[in-house]
Amino acid sequence: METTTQPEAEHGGHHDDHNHGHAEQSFFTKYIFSTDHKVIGIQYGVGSLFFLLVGFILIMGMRWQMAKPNTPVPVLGPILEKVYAHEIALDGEGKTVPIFKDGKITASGYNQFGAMHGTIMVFLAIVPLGFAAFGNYIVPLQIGAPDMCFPRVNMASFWAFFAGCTVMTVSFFIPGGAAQAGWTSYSPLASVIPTDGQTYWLVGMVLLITSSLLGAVNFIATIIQLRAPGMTWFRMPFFVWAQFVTAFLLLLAFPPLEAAGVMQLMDRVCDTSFFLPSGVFASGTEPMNVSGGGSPLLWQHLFWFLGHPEVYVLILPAIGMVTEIISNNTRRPIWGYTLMVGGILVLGFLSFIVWAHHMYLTGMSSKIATFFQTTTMIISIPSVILLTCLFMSLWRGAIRFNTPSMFALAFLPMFGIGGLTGLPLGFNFTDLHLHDSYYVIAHFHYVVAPGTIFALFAGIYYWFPKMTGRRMSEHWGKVHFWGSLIFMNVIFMPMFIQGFAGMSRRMSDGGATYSMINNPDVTSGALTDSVINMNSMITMGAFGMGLVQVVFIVNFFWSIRNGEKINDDNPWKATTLEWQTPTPPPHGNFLTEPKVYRGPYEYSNPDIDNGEDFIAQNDPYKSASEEQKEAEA
Amino acid sequence: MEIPYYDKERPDTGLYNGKAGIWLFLASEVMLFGALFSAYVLLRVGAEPGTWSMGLMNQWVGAFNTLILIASSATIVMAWVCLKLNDWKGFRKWKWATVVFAFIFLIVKWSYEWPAKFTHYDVTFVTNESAAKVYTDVLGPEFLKTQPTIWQKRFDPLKKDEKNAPASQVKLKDKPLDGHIVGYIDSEGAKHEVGAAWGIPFWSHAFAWRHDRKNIEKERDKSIRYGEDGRPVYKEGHFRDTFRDKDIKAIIFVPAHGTWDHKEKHADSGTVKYAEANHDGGHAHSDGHGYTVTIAREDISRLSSYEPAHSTFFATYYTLTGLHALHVLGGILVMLYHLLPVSRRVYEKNPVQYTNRIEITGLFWHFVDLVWIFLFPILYLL
Repeated sequence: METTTQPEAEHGGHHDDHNHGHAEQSFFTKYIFSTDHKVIGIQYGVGSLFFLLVGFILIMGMRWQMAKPNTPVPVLGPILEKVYAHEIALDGEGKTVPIFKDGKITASGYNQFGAMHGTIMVFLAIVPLGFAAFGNYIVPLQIGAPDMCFPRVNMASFWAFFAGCTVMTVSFFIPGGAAQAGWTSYSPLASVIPTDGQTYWLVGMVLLITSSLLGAVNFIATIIQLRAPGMTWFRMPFFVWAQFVTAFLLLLAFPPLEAAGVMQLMDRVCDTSFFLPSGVFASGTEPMNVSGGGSPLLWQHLFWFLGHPEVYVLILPAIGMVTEIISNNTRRPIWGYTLMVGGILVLGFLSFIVWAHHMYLTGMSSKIATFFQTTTMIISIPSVILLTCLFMSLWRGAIRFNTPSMFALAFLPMFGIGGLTGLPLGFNFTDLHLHDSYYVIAHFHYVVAPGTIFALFAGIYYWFPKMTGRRMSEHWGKVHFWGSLIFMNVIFMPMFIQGFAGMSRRMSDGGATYSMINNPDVTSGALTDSVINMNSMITMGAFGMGLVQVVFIVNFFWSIRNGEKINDDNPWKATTLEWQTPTPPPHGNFLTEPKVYRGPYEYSNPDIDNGEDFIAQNDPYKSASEEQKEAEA
Repeated sequence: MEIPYYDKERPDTGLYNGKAGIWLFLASEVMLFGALFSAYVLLRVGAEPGTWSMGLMNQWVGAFNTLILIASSATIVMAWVCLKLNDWKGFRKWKWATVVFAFIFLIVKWSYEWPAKFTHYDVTFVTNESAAKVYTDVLGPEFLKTQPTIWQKRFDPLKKDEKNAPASQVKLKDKPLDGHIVGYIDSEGAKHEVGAAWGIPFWSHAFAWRHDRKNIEKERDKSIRYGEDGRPVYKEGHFRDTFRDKDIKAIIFVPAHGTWDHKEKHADSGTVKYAEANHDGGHAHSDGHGYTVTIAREDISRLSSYEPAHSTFFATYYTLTGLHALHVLGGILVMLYHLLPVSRRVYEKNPVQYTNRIEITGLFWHFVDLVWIFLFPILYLL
């Protein structure tokens, strides 16, 4: 504590004056083309939060369409019509058809929104927020490094991300609109769609993948090379371990998708047939005139080889954050830290050999299905270990119920629901019934929405004081929390029921086509009124959810300038190194190189009598028993 | 602020930062090319018998490029060794040698191998009769009586039922005749010559022409079509087709030497230089008739140069070699940067750091070399 408060006084006015001490940096190099990991982290954070909102707005449009098919979208409708006014395409006879008509979302508009919702949420929002933003800001601080290993590569990574985001955004405004083959971009559909959206999507993806690769190399090299003296592998906070494994997943799983993207780009631009089998019919009665001989399954294999590790890329940083916050707020060491580290390493490895459980319905042989079913069941073991350790950590803890800890605590059961409902999808025989139904949607949204996003919110509330020197409002934070928790469940719980009832996930009219009303002759298999009507409930939930997020957005921006000032660099009384720096940390982070003496979760250790219930990792304090041991030696 | 272990090794890992970084980067590169190699294996194993094009590469050019790259891997090590011994002049010499080798590799690829393929065509026919007519014209009447083993080396294996079938039962219309387009006849019967572009023999004006009968029959327009419901109607009207865009009644075709020269018919258009196949030897002038064959538009079912859209083999070939060539280009840019005066100043300021950079570049370059060592057999030899 001494080391950080002392220089604080020297610098003076730390919290308000951002320009002190680094006169050699212009505004441009300091905030726009910065090589400082903290600025880059914040750039990533702001960008990804923006896209989180964009992805959410897209899904609100879709939810409206599902609850009230063929009625104009309120608020968004007139804007859509304006934006897509030029989106008039010629058909064979020169007739023109707008994609968005009278403020209504047509089928292809719905497809665009659906494809881009998935893409934006996964690749532009959650991965950059969980991995790149928090990782950039926190990891070097937690391991006691002055910056990332390669600061300029770090900047290049952000600007590649920015370019990718730009391409994705621009694709909405080109003739024909954005990609519409789903976020998975299955070929042959994605290869033959004549609009350019898919091509933009592929170019955008190549840029985003490049960004991820540069980031992943940087993270791993930083964690290997720049750990402060004394920061041994098993003194690293669990968040760093989570980022380490995540970086490996990105490093090794993303390139195959890049390869697949290049091949699909070749299919679209150079008319090759990597993913087009001989005699494929796009429409009409004539097979397409391509050379053929390609394999649609190849795309699925390459896509899911990324796609499944990608799920863990989404969830692991979240688990890392939750671990930090739970340990801090229960004032107890994490239960089974080494077990968790082992678990996460096994999880990372296994995530590379489970991908084909997304493909049971492709007609692959039952032997392959058996293999992937087995590995999928095995991978649930380390996942359960992680979750169990976190639950065990709560036992006999004196839990502080502040906003970050509430989000982190809610993460546990929500992620638990998401994980357990995945088991029926991992089994071949049950997946055959549930595949592509709303059950799948509910399952993975429980993992990433109330799961990962809650953890991200927790992280934002938790580290906000370190970044700004102010706290976010606790009161409105709790409003945000309870609202989010309730509406999340209102949205996603009914989807399990819809899925069991057999509602397909890809219908732009919310299943009305298959309803009993529209098919009076059908006696079984059609969707009942109660199942269809859940759409309205879900949509109301989604709009309520949107309303609650307004609270968060206002709280976030208001608190940057007007939040309660923190008097201490370590407001949560945490042990890890990021709290042992000035607030916000200056360029270069630590005023003196930190030296690490102990593990990351030294809370309520009865041996340590320093007047607090925690001891920082860089505190050279020796307990009486330790001193005694040394004396004996 | 200084990043630790920027130029010296961290004791417990034995690495300086850059080396850790490049190994990680190469790991991801392995996955990138690994995915493409896997795709190659999957597509090739899954190909219908008799559809995987083979033997169309010039193995000697490929072997030459392989040697060039291996040599460049050696010279880049020499450059690094010289730097370690503080021999700046020697370093520059070997580094320039590496750059020159890299350039030779790219020039062979970019201005010879690829363009030669883009002007080399396969023609298949609408009926067996029209095919027989053309083949008789090219190879003489006795050809039809013999076993058409000529395609054995191109497609491995031939369709099972065709392998031992009598010649009369082979579906001649699907067996491609390969060669070059040297001219065409328009609908008014006027003859147009299609010569070499910029005087480069293998770079013909007939560059990546393409025709598919299925395409032209419908005369589909180029626009995107949408149905009443606002969904796009997936037609392939946006496909390029030379016969639709150009007024062509028949093409004047020169069968390639390498494939067809066992009949001792040396094809040459006489006055017009035409695109060379990579198998071609010289173009000896000869007596005038029988070197070119005119193929009517309605006899052609598919005309395709050896461009990516030709077949899965060529799609793989261009994707893999193209991506590899991009890596070579990247390597060249980095090496040129290391030869600029600004890098000399880095060397004078911090020789260790500069030597590390050269070492890292070398590691990358060895990887690029290694990828080619895998590419050469799978694309040229197997």
